[in-house]
Amino acid sequence: MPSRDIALLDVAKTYPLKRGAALAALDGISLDIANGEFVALLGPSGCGKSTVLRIVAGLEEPTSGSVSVGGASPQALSRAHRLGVAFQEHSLLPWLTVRQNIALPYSVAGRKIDGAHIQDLIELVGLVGFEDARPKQLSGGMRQRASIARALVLEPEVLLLDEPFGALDAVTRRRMNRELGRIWAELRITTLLVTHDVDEAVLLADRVVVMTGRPGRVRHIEDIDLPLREHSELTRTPEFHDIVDRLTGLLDATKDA
Amino acid sequence: MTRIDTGAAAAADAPIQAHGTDAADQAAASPLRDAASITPSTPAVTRSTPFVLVGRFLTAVLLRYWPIILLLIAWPTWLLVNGYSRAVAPSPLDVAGDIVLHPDVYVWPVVWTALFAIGGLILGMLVGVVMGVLVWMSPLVSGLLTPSALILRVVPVTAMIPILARLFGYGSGTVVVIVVILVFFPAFSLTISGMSSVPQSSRDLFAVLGSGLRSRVWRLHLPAAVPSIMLALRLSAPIAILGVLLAEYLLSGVGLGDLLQSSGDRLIYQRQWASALIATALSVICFGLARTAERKVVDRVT
Repeated sequence: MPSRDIALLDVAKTYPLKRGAALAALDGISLDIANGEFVALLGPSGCGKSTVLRIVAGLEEPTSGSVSVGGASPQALSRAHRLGVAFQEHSLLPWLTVRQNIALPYSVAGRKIDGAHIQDLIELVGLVGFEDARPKQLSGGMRQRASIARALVLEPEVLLLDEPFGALDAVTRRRMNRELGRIWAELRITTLLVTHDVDEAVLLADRVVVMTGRPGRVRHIEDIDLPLREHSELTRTPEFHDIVDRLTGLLDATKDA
Repeated sequence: MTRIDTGAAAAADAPIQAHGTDAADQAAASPLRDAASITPSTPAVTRSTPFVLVGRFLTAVLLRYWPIILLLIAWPTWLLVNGYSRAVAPSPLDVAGDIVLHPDVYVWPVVWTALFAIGGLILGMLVGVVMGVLVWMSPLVSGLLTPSALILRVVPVTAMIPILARLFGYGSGTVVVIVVILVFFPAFSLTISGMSSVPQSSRDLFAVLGSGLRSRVWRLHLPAAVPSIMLALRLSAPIAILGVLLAEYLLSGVGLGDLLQSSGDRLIYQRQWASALIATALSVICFGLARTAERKVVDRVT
């Protein structure tokens, strides 16, 4: 599977406010994500972590600094239809069925719809039997799975996940995390996950980047060496809880600061 | 599957019906309460007696159609109190009698009026939606079309009729043009607002999918505007009938509007009044059909 690296160098983002004032959302973010690496961006609400993802997705331009995806601009990647994104809001189109929603990237890219591949993905995300259902007939978890299948359908080189399970209850979220871990272990695409859930970040990522509150800066980078994606039972081990406790402590400290 | 209520009309139906059944239950409950003191019976049995069902039905009819019933009582009373003869105003019986005895007089006018209204409605909706899409897509087209669309909207259509008749003739063509002028504007403006109502997350999705403008309009903004377009259809359906009647009344020699005018000229008042009633019924039917279509389509796209 082709994949690409992501490089953010000294990225800052400020939003102009009234009367010449400005809001600094991000300040001096430098981050390299290697080819085929899963990085989680962890931070308190409003720390600008979603802004980082939107900059990598090419939806926003950094005020200063540079961002490149595989040596090119993020927009070049989306124009080439090589970018997969799952947002916090599933943004499935209500007038399309699950299958048609997952096929949407093919239509937008002007490519022939590969029905067999779509069926494989529907199986991968566990939506067999719901192919012809429409989004309003699905539960929240199923909608997010359909949204992830849609992000994966064109075999993207970069996958961006913006709190894809943010709106789900804790139990469903846990189950979805294990399923995402299983799916990702099969595909190994360069992935950036934005979340405020420490367990989720540690369970899924190779590296967890902890951010400070506004303006968002990188506070700490934690390498996760446990094979958690393949062995989710390891979440019961003390090593897992040590890491989670330490990162939670860092998050609390950023809130106090 | 959950049905989503759309529009004020849909919402207005529910409380009336609910209220109707409540009142019927209460009305039916009082005699039964007396009976219950002698022979105790379960509510499940008493609810399904024919008496209760008929009572419930009549109450529902009364609550829903009381204005029509009131009209049918007030109309002859008004004639009687003022001592008006048939030459002044016909009674409900005269009007009904003319429809029953001379159906041939009404059939073709009804067919013509309905055809022109539906044809004009479809054409006007098409013009409005296509214009709306073009204006939404291009600032240049918006600058060119929006002022003239507003002028067409603001000038009263009756004031335009003489000019339109000069341009398009005193026949059926002008009737359709008038309906199109009346109908296109709600479709035009609601298409634009519907296309602009797409949530940011969907716009982001199409941006990261690398979608071009045409693909985005066709696959996202236009489908998202369908509920608004269907709302325009429901609002415009009775207006289309109004436009046809007005144009027929003033211009052409066919349709219910012409019948309204010619029977008045010939002092056949019961026929004139009957034409007015039939036109009203036609308008109500058009509105009802458009509302049903709107509900079905909106349920499919939301």
